[in-house]
Amino acid sequence: MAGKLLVSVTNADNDPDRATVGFVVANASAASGVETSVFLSTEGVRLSQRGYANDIHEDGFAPLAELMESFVEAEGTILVCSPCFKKRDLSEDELVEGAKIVGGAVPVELMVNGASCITY
Amino acid sequence: MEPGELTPTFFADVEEMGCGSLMVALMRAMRGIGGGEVLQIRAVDPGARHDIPSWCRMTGHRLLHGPCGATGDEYLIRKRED
Repeated sequence: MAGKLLVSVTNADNDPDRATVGFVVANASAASGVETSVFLSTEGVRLSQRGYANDIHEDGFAPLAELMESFVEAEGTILVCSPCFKKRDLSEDELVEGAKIVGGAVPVELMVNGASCITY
Repeated sequence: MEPGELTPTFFADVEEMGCGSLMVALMRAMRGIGGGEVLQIRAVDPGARHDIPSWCRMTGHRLLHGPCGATGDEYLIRKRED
């Protein structure tokens, strides 16, 4: 399957509905064989910390931690906005599996090379 | 070939799973079977009748039949040969 998708997630427990649905769509994409990245920025970077998502379970959806695990299992990549991460004084040692800290160049490169983007 | 003439190798009942969870369940089920083998899956989410054909088109697996079965929520999918 050709094509790439970038799912921009800008919320964490401040808006569990958006954070969860972002990963639901990312799962649908990655599990369909589409090269998929989630870009966590602004408040969304909090999801990059191990254990943070454990308490987020939006009604009608699978628990967020489970969705994040299945996304990585489906070979999805989690990109974490570096300045957003540093601003919140988060820990690199606590990154969840599959997450990597990047600057703006990585998501921009993905998009200019044809990745479609959807934001939550 | 009619659905009754097929002998699926594997069965999976994903019940009410939908959207991303359904796609992940399909992915996991397909990882467990060999190329050319047939998966029979039951999915009752209202979006499944559109999502499963779309998933098959994207992944290259072949939707042989479905939605079908007595309750109209079964699908037969042949795994692509890699």
